[in-house]
Amino acid sequence: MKNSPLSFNRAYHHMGEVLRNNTMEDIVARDRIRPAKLAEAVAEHLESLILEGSLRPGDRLLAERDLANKLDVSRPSLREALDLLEQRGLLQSGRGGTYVSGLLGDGFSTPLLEMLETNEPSSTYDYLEFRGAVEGTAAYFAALRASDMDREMVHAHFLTMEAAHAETESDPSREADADTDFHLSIYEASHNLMMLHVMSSLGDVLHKDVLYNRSKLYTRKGVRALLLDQHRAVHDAILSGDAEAARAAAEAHVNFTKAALHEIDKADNRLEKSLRRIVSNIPGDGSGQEILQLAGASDDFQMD
Amino acid sequence: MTEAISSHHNEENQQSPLAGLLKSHPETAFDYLEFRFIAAGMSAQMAAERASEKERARITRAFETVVAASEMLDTSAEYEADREFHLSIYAASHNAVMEHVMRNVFVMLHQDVFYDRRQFHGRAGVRELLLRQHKAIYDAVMAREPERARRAAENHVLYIRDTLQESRVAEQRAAVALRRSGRASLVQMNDVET
Repeated sequence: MKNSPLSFNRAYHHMGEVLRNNTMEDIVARDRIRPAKLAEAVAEHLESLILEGSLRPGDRLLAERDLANKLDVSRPSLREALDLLEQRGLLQSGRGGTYVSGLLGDGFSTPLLEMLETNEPSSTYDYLEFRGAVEGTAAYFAALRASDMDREMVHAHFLTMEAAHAETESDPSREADADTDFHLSIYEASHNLMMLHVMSSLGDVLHKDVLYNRSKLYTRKGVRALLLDQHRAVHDAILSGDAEAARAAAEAHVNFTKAALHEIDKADNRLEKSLRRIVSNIPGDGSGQEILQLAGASDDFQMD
Repeated sequence: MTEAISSHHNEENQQSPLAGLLKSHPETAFDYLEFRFIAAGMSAQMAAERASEKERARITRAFETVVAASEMLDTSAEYEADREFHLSIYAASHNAVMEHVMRNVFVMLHQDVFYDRRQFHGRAGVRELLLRQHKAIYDAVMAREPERARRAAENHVLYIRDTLQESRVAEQRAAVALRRSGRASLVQMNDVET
């Protein structure tokens, strides 16, 4: 196929095959009218749902019988469709059912995880630098392209974030979760499937790390309110269809996150250094009561 | 660090499920190009700002190979040279996440997922234009002009997008012409007014 002169894309390639094997008369009569096998049609349907992100990596499908009912096909046809998708690496059977696979594969996530572990925190900044540019563009496209339903989703996630902000002053994790969902809904609304899959795979890989960063941010006095304001600006711009404002707001938000984390790390480093200095100046084995108290103080350290 | 990451790659064996999915949905090529527009512009800008002497030497070697391959009219050498040239710029961006992501995306799209690169390079005028675009990126990065480098890289991707769009439309037109020419097989020619 690679060497075929007519394979600019699949359809064209198909046309070339048809041309070589048939007379001109056959083409008009037969091209593209062959009905697909039911199992293939089912597989194609599920494949589209995975591609567009309606089914997400890690999702567990309904039990075979229920899924067959839902799709209104026989179980053997469904079984065959699921087998096809497993062969293509899009589904995998695991404990208790069939799951949607990670789309970018282990070759993507494993080295990334190792890199994060060995180069924290510099890879976090790299991630945020990269994300700043991509997310600015995603917000831009979201403002241009979002359907009513997309806008509702972005809005709903923002409301959840706002509610979590108001209700749970003591528990930042709910707000951080809502934050993650909010950003995913922007990628969905951008209707760019490449950005959606790459950035959500990246997000999944960094999930632990990102959550850690988010809680690191959300526990700082003042930062939380600023983040909410930034999310509101992104939300407002997308809902009003102002693409340039959406890009600027999303970029400003990610850049703020990066700068704030940097400040926190620097502050932590300073604190650590001064702690070490104090420790080394204390006579004895350095495990005195004062040190424990000082170390405990770092939890209360505020950025502002 | 870069070496450590790439050593994990057995490039030809990296088949991600996404590659097959994209291949069976040709319209996603434009999503890819939108994505690459951002990454290419940003990395060229960063390479112009940040590239070390060693990285600049790699970019220069890669560009010289691009020129040589173009002169030889050897599409498969051109494709390999093109790939190494862009990778050398991603590597010089000093952003490990960007490099990792784009290297993986390149690997994933290796098998002519969206278009036949040999055919792409062979189209009339394309070879010269691509070379001029690569030279614009190269010159700006070497002159350490970030803004110019970003625009040059973005132009390159926009050009690929436009060319792809044109060729897709051309295929549809060719298909229509083909069906028209086969009209005689479906109708009673006596009934048709000419």
